[in-house]
Amino acid sequence: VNCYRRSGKCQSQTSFKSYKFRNFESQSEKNDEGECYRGVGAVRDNMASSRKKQDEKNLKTLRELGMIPENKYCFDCGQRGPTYVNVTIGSFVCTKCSGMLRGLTPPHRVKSISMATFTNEEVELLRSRGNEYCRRVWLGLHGSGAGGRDAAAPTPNANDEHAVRDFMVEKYERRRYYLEPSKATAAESKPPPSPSPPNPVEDPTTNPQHKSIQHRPAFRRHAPWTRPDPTKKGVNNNNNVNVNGHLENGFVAEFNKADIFGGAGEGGNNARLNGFVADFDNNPVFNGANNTTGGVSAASSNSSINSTPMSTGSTPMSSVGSTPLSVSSTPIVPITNSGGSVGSPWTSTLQNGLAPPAVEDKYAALKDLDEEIRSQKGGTLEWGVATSTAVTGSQCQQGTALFGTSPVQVGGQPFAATFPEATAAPANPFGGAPWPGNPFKMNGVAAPPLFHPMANGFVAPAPAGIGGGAWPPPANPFKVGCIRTNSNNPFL
Amino acid sequence: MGLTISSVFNRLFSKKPMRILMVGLDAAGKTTILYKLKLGEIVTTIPTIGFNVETVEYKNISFTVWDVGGQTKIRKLWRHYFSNTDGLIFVVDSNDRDRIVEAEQELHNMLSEEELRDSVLLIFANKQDLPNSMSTAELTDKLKLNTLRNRKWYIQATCATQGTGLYEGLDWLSNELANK
Repeated sequence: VNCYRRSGKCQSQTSFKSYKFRNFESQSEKNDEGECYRGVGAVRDNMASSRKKQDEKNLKTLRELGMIPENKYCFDCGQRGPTYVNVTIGSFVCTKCSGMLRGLTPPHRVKSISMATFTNEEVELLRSRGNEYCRRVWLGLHGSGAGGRDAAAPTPNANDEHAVRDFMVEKYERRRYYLEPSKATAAESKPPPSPSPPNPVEDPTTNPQHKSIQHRPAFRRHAPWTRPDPTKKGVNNNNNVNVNGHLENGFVAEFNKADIFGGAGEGGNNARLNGFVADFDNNPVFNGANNTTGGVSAASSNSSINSTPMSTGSTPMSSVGSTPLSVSSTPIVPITNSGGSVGSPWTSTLQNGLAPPAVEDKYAALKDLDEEIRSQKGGTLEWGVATSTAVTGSQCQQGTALFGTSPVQVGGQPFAATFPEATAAPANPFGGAPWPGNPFKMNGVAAPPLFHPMANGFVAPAPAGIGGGAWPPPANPFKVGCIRTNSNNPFL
Repeated sequence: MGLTISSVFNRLFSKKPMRILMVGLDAAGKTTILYKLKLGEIVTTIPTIGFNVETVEYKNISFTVWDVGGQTKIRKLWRHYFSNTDGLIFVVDSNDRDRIVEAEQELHNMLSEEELRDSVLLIFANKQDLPNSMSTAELTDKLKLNTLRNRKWYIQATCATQGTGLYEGLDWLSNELANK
């Protein structure tokens, strides 16, 4: 046996060499796709190169489609940055979910964006559909859909694989939330509401895809609820409870997802934060806030639609796990009335602020920074802790902002002293919730060891504050941490 | 003398190694098969980028099974795994009628490689549990297996999720190895 093995090895080694040799010769004939192993002749080469060109074009289109905000999150679990597409229904999904989708009956066909080649039909399908369309159709009757039949239906926690899979079974195999595309798209074609501010977040300088969806208010991922349907006004009161319930989840989740840089970006009128301003259309915080803005205005007219997107929104966020703030158990109620006013500060902020430069790779850079910060969250002695705490703080305030305070404050404050001025912004619908000063003012520079425990202490009162109007904590626990011990903060 | 004894001993008790390369179109069930063989259970897999490799002991043979991802752009990497391959397992999704031609092309492209000249071919007609799946006879036809010359091949109906047919396939492989 051994003898045989050895000779076998010998043989195959020789053949390996010869193979290599042959390979060299034919290298020029082989196209990169490896599609024609024995490509011979110019005709074949031409075909191969034209196919390659086509593939490249398709890939480019696909990547552009992936830049549409709602396609930046896995359709099934909400994770950021999908790497696969589900060519059965035309959605963008993450690796994990793509694996699960293959296991459904009947299986969905998934393809890696970078590791597969796409036909024109597939690209066309993805263009015409995408996550937003899929949400309308496959979650049409879910809490997030127009029907709202299952408004209370749970959206799975993205960390819970079983929950995600069970939800997929409900969604695709049993079609529990399925809404006929004709109906789903009919809802979509309704004109956007005039009272809700035209999406100020959309950066007009970004790519054409963005432009094409610009007429839609707010973040498209949640768009359906931002589109008030005047005919359904009557439903409003009935659904308020649901709305609130969903909002709770939604907000928490959004907060978790928020990244501090995004926050900075929102401080549009802070010149120093220029670089981040460019991130308007990508930033989850921003979107979250904007979302809510849209949602709020929508709430006044159509709560049944309104309630759904929130639950959708909650998916991505819950994946982050820890929920520092269970902010706003019922904050929505006051908001409903102030929908219009909520939007305006945004707009003005943005207009007054710098015109966001369109930087192509801004998102990538931000993401890196974001990840870095996140990775530092675990430590206790890094300034990163302080920063992350600052985020928490800003998130808290953001929550408030969602309810009417000028969002500008939200972004600027953790990183700079601009907040106090911002506090003076007129649009606080809570009226009774005075801002004693910016409790987070010094977050960025706080001495971490002192700061950290207090941050936790601070988080706790937040929900009550937002909900009940008793927002400001009795004393500013962060003042103690004001000693500027660390100049690592890139935002100062 | 000692050499003889040890060779007899080896022959009787040691496990023969067999290097198996498992390929096929994406989502055919290769990784599921691999882990069903290895662990005896169904794991939730994600699309394989790169490869998985496991050794599976069966009938005194140690199968080293290389499971290589099958998405379009990484199929050209298959050839890097060809050398010293004793057995080739080609996994087909019996239910995927749309892509059976693609599978056939990939299979024949691969078999024309010199390095695989001596390896035997086992085809797993996977996903037989699905209602609309093609039979082994139909697949033999569609994969043009009858046109293969100088190749030992065998097609086995399998269902990875239930584990049916997998060990029958390994049986055939081990017999072929013994006969070599």
